[in-house]
Formats: sequence, C-alpha cells, structure tokens
Amino acid sequence: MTDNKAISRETLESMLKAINMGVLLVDQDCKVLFSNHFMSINSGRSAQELVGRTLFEAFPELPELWTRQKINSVFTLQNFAFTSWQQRPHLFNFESTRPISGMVRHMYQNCTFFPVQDADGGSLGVGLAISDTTDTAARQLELTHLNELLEEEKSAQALLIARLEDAQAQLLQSEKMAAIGQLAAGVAHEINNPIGFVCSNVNSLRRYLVDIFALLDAYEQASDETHAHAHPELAAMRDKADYNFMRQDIDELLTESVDGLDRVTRIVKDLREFSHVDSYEWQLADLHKGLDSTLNVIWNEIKFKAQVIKDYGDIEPIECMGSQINQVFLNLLINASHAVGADGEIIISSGREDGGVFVEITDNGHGIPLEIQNRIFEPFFTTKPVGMGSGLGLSLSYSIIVKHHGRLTVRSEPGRGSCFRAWLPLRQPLVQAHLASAVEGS
Amino acid sequence: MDTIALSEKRHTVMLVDDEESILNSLRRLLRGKPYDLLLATSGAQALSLFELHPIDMIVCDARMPFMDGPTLLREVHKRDPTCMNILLTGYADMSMITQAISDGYIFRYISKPWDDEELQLALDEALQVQNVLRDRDNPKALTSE
Repeated sequence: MTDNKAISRETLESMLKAINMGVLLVDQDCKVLFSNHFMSINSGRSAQELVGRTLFEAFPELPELWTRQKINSVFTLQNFAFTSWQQRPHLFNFESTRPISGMVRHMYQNCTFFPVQDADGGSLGVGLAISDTTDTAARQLELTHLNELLEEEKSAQALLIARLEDAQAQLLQSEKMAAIGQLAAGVAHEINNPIGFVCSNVNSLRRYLVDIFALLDAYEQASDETHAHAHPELAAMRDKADYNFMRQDIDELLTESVDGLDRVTRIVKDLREFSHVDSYEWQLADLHKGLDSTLNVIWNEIKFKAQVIKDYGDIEPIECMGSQINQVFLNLLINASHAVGADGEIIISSGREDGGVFVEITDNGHGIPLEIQNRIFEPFFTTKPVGMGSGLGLSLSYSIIVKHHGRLTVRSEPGRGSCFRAWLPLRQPLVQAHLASAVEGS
Repeated sequence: MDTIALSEKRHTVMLVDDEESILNSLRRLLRGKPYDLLLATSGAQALSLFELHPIDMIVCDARMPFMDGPTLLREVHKRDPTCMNILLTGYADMSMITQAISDGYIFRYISKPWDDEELQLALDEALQVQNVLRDRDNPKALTSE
C-alpha cells in the first residue's frame, strides 16, 4: 500500500514482528498464518509452534464459539470488531509484564479484529491486534476501588450527620428544659414566700375573727333596751354595713381564699415536680402522678380545646427519669391538643403489657398523613407553622423512650385522629451499672 | 418534772427571715404559744441576738442575703448544740438539706409554703426532744425535783 519502494516487504514484516503489541493473522478456519514476537514472548511458544495450528490449539484459553463468530463476521462483512479489557479482561492468558501493583497478575488486553486482503483485494483472513492495557486497567480499577471507598465514607458521614442532628436536637431541648427547670425553681421559690405568709395570715385572720365575733356577741348580749335607745346610731350602722350578711359571708370568703391559695400552691408544686430540677436520675415513679402533674401544668393550653378523658389502668411504679418521661407526656399532650378541632377529645389510657406498662394518648384530631408518618420522629421535622413547633418534640420523646429501653409508636388515620403509645419496661437493665459507676465517680 | 410544769415553762424562740411579712405571719401563728419570740431579719442580727439571750429554738429561712440559713444554723450549733434548729426552705435543695441534717445542726426542715398545723407540731416536737435531751444530759436536775 505504500508508494515508497525503499521499504521492502522484509522490512515491513520485521516491523510487524517487532511491534510492541500482539499481531496474529488467521484464515477463515481460524488457522494461524502469522504470529509476531509479542505473542511468542507472552505465550512462551515460538512462532513456528503457533503458525499452522488453529487459534484454539495455539491458545486453548480462547473462548472458541465467541472467537469463531467474531472472525466469521469480520471475514464475511469485512468490517472491524473490537473487544475491550472491560468486556474480556484477559482474552489471552498472558502474565502481566509490568506489574504496577502486586494485585495485577494477568495482562489486561484490548483486541481488534480487522479484515486482511490479499494483493488482489480478495479476503485473505482476519488480523488480530492485541494491545496491553494493564496500566490503564490497573489505574482504572484503582480509581473504581477508591470511588467505592469514597462512597462508603460518604454514607458513613451521612449517618454521622444524622446522629449529630439527633444529638443537637437533644442538646437544644435539654438545654431548654434545664433553663425552664431553673426558671421554675426560681419562680417557685419567689412565689412560695408570699404564699407562705398569705396562707398563714389568712388562718390567723380566721382565728382573730372568731375571737372578734365572740366579743361582739358578748357586747350584744350585754346591751339592753335602754342602751339601744341611748345609741340608735349603732343599729343604723349595723344595717348600713349589712352586718348579718357580712358575718355569714366572711366564712365563705375565707374558705374560698384558702382554696385559691391551695390551688396556687399546687400549681407551683406541679411546676416544680414537672421540671424536676432535683431529680435528673433514675427513680421509681408513678406514671399516673406524672401524667396528672403534667396535665396541670398545661391545663390552660388544653382545657378550651379538648375534653380530657382519663382511663387509667392498674400499673405499678416503674424505674425511670421522671422529669424526662413527663417531657414525653407533655409533648404528646400538646401535640394532641394542637391536632384536635371542635369537639376535641383526648383520651389518656394506661395499663400493663408485655412485662412493662404502656401509656396511650389518643386524640380525635386531623391525624397524620400517611406519607409523613415515618418522618414524624425525625429531628426538626414539623408541620406546624414557624414559631409553633421546633420539630424536636417527637424526636426527643422518641429518644427518651428509647433511652428507657421502651418503644414509642404511632397509629394514625388521617381525618380520624392519632394514637401515640409509649411502652416502658418496669426496670432498667443498665441502671444498676449506672448507679455503680456513679458511686465510683463521686 | 410533770406535764403541767413542762407546759408552763416558757421557751425562747427566734424567728429569722429576711422578709418581714414572713416574720409577722409566723409571729401571728405562734401568738397563742408559750413562747418568748425574738425576730431577726438577717443572719448577723440573729447571731447578735443569740449572744444576748438564751435561745431554745430557731426557725430560720434558708435563702437570705449575706448569710444564708444553713450557715447561720451551723454557727449557732457550734455555740449551743442543744438549740433546736428548724430550716424553712422555699425550694428543695436536697443536697444542702441532707448535708445539714446529717451534719446534725438542723433538727428538721419545713418547706414553704408551710402548713400552719404541721409547723406548730414540728415546733412542739422539737421542744419535747430538747427537754428529753436536756434531762438525759443533766439527770441531777431530774432527781432533785
């Protein structure tokens, strides 16, 4: 094909023999007509041993059916065919000549099948050009491996981020609760002082009045007709002041005042019990008491929205962190009160189950759409408008219950209402160890 | 010593609180009791009164500026271990209270807001315990009567 007569046929042949890639020429029956040095060096067989045999005698590792089809199609259609190292990494079973790493022991090859014509332009046979792609393949494989590693790392990081979000949510909420607890304790102290003396004073006043009325009665007994005539202004004063009513009403007035003071006292006590500044530790707690004091704290938020029905079962005290469990109740009750519309109803039920106790808070509110039911426990997930919810309540409740080795589950039917159920074991498996380490640490 | 003699014996009781309203309400509550009352609005004032009068019992607020209740009562206990100390607390600082009780310098604590009846009972009880302790430490006085 060349115009340059200076290049002889021998020169071309020796170039073909010496070229640093495998060159084979086979006829239609796959008999080897030509094989170059590359093939000999890598197969360990001389050209004489290879030429004259079929491809499959010379290279038993070749897939016969596939190779025959390739060669036939190239021969018949006079077109090119190609197979890359990705498709057939080791078409010929050659060892790697330049191992980049110890991992690569076989030569990766690309192979081109091309038609070869004789001087008259007739089909002579099919040429195979085999190039060593070990370097590329090794790099490529390394990159793929690195990619996999990166992918793994990425998913590990995603997991870490999720955990961090969780931890941050908990931290935020527990900081908030700690602040509220401190505030509650401070307010409780400040309120308890005035309540203390007002209560006591009201009692003293009642005793004083008893004495004063006794005195007045005695005066009345002692005064006679002449005395009354001498001082008609006394009767007028008495009528003007509506003495009889006053005397009757004072008792009621004091009783009501004492009732009111009792209520303030109870609210302050509940607020403190709820925030439990003094009890961030494991203790036996009566969940019904926790529910009641929590209800008291948020009674104002609930009472205009929903009727609360208590259906308490017979449960025993469980080992828990009372303040944290109260937080869960608070979150669930507030959510329920946000969910209900007119004729709202919140049912609080409890009972024993499965070696533990459960508390269910059921509302007849708008329910939770199916597509977000599995997201509601995620931190920062909220459907409430900005400012109404942090998206932390349920995720925190969930982690608190999990920390107590319990389960928090939800059943909800959009439009019909939701039921949140917390199940808690009677005793904590790890508390003993906790206590032991706390004692050692102190 | 018979019970009539005991009930007729007047005790000196000091009330300490930085809030005068509290002192006044306590004073009203204890008006009918056979107590000579001393009132102090600070720890320092209480200590100087303590130097001047023999005092049987102190009812003291826990949180006061400058010198708080436990500090005052610890000081008092050092000077007169037989003085009955009762701590009034507005908030339950449990560690402080348990420390004070186990160190022995307060007889008991009562949380605010107090129940009038409970407070009176606590004071009676404290004085009874004090009488028993004093009799035990001074048996001669018993036999000579």
